[in-house]
Amino acid sequence: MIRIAGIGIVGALLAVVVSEKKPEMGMLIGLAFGVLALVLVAGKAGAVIQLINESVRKSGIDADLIVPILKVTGMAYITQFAVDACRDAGQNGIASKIEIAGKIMMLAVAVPLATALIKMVTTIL
Amino acid sequence: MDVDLIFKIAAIGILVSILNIVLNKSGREEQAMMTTLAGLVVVLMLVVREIANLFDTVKALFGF
Repeated sequence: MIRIAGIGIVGALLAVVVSEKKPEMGMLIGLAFGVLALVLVAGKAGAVIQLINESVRKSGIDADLIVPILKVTGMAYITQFAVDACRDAGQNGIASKIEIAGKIMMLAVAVPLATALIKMVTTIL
Repeated sequence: MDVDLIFKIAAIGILVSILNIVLNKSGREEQAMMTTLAGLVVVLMLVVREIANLFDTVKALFGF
């Protein structure tokens, strides 16, 4: 945590210094910091996901139900990362298109869950 | 994959801007432009590789 905070402060300072002359380089520094922070955190996230998977397996819930949730979470992270990068570059139009694409793809992943629920209800009735 | 990446990008940025100023002052605008472009491409290659790395990590993590 302290490492990420420190890297963030250093990155911000460097970005300010560099973007005075070259704004695109400043943006790339921001992007590099984003990648660095997320990769550093990824290991912890893996432990959390393993824990979730384990508790789901123990509780006897169908493993197919937890996969779409994790997938949507991952897609949300990737979408947010790309959108922030585009916003930093000042391209709000592209950012909102990526957002829309992400929403549609998340919906595509989530729809089978809804249909499974409907199927379950119809079998009960 | 460390803080070195950020320092590297900052160093390239400063270097390119200095080269740009020198070349502009000596009246070689098109070479200054080429230097800027080359610096941008080099940094972009560095960053894009790491972004691909990040996306692979997320993909592996969330079970795509």
